[in-house]
Amino acid sequence: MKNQETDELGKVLKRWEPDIVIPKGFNHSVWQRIETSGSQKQTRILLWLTDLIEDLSFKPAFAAIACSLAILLGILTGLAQAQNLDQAAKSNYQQMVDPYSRIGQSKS
Amino acid sequence: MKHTGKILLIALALCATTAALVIFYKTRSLSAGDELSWLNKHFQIRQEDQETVRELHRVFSKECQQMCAKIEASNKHLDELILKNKEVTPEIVTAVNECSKIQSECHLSMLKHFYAVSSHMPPEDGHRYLTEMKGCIIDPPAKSPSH
Repeated sequence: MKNQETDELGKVLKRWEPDIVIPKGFNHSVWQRIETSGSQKQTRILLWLTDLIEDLSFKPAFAAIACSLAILLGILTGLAQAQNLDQAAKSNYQQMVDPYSRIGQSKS
Repeated sequence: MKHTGKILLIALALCATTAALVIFYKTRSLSAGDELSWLNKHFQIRQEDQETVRELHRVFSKECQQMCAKIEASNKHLDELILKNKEVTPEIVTAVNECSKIQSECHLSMLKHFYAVSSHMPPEDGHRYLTEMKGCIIDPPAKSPSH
């Protein structure tokens, strides 16, 4: 039943001729829009960067202090985290060569 | 207010990026699956000795596993004896001595391994390695005479 309906719909669609007048240079304009979409992305990035600089220059002293503190905090956090990872790697090695450390680890 | 918020957001992004870069830079030579990555990061092992050290580690890891089993068995036996008795019996004395004997054996095996590994490093690194690892044998680590 459904197949029959689909066949009929297909036939109707094949016969249907839309009365739309395709403007002159339609294909050309479509291609042009595809080409310019790339440069639009670049423009958006530029706009974002300009906006960013504007934000930073609005309160330059505050921005400088905030960024410096953020970098300092980032370095300290990174160093602390790296030290933790290094300590974990050391424990991992010690566990492989120290049976008492291995037993302690399996108990905890 | 809008600008302040944006500046703080930028600062937050900067903080996270810096932290990630520092972590990456400081731990780039560490690998989660490789127990020797810590050793290779902190101590110079001669290129030609890398494979020998890896083999030493592989063999000793197996030995260590066997020692673990011995320690656990002797500890369990002593544990049972302690709870079973009300005073120190000859059996407990034997069990305590057995635990101490196993501990000495383990410490000596570990020390032999540490010496073997350190012999594949430049003298300074070898000394540093022994300083780090002696903590596994002496608990708490003894202070060096220079201190």
